[in-house]
Amino acid sequence: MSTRRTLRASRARLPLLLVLASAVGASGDSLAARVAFYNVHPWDGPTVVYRGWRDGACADPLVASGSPTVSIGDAQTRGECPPELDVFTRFHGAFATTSPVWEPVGGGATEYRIALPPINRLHVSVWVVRWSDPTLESRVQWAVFHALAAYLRFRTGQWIDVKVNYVNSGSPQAGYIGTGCHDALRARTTWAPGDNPYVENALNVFVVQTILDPDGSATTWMGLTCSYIDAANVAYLSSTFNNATLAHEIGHMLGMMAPEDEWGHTNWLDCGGVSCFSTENLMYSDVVAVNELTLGQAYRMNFDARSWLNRAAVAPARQLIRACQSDWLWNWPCPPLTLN
Amino acid sequence: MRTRDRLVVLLLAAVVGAAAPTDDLTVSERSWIRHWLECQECVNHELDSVRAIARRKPVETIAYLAGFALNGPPPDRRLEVTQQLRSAYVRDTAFAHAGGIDVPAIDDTLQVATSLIVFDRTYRFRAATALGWIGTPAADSVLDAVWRGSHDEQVRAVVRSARDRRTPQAPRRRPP
Repeated sequence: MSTRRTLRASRARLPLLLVLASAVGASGDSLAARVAFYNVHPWDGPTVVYRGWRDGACADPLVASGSPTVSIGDAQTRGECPPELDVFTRFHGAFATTSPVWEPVGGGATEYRIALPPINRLHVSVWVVRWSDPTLESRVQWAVFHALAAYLRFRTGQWIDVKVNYVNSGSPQAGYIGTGCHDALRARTTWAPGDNPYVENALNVFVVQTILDPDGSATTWMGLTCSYIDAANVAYLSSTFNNATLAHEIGHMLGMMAPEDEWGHTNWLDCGGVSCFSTENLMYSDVVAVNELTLGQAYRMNFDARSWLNRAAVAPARQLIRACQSDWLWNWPCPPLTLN
Repeated sequence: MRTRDRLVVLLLAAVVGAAAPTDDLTVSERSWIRHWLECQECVNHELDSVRAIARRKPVETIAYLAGFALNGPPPDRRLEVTQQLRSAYVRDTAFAHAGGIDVPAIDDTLQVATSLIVFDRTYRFRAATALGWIGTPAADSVLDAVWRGSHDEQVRAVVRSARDRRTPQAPRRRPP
């Protein structure tokens, strides 16, 4: 596994490094193009990802940050390199355009002015079927808070808007929730006003003491997303869920399923002999606390067709939807998953 | 030393919480076992890997797992996780305060302590499940010892389930 991936990592990273090096070299000359924002908040920390014709070549992704403007070098529109400019911030929605309009601002410089969209309120319906655990409510509360903070800090453009409900195991809602994804299908297709906790236009997270397999076997998994049975907006958490499990499962529901042979987990992705991702990455299978969520991951959450955001009937009209490649290191049509 | 005697010695070491007798497990093997003990969904063949290791090195694998089933996570890993949880608490609350976001009224000591209890229990669950999956008489003996020695009803339930071999399967995958 590692040799092939290492080669691919090297191949994909080399041009990126060359481009970044040339950008640094050009910084003393003229950083002519810049992105300006009408509506940034001091805490937004806008980060621009630019792909297209730049500094005399088809550029690999350039990442630049700043406020209130971000300089990105000599960006131009050329037919052979379709441009794409994306902006990620902490308190606005993700922005993407394939037709940035550069306006002259004097002295040979050009500027592209953007009004960033409002942050997306990602509705998450959480139902907890109680069991004997005096710490259950505080654990749920903290997992929700940790997910909210992580998705904001790492500029996903998503405000995790959670409504938590608690029910007892004998309640009608608990009957619908059941014990695993096989029950989620029934909940999704059976309409019972007031009793069925499933919400069509939200992410649904059901917290149960034990997740069972369809054959009735108990698992000890912390969580499970039901995308494998086409219930892409449903996940289960079990009594072993940790602070990061809710955030991790939301990541799966927002399309973090690449690389597919790893179920979207980042543990085994090798970049030249070192791991491409931290053990605190959102999609690390053994994550305990989230302290890494790359721009490449934020990009796919927002713009990959596999993200639930881009499947839901009521999702706001997206500016751009890409069929992102399975290869996490390649840079087209989507930036590499490792981009940061 | 005969295999059975070696197992007894290794299990005794595990029971008294002595240094893990893992010299005969490679770094990679221990790493795979740790993935199983800590994975979120465990759909990357973690449990199959543990069983494969157990086929090659049954005595060492069972003794290694016995330590976790009886004592929870090793002290160095517990310390690492404690530090991660503390750092995450500080980062999240500082970010929330600066951004005007409500912070749950849970102090850091309680939050970390609660998380560690779950972390500890997960190690015991997973180690017991793996021992049930290995399913040899030696593994069953360890499960019986854990069942007798544990006062945690949830751990005992998992041990009982593991003893009955009701072990989990990875979900069947569909093309995305």
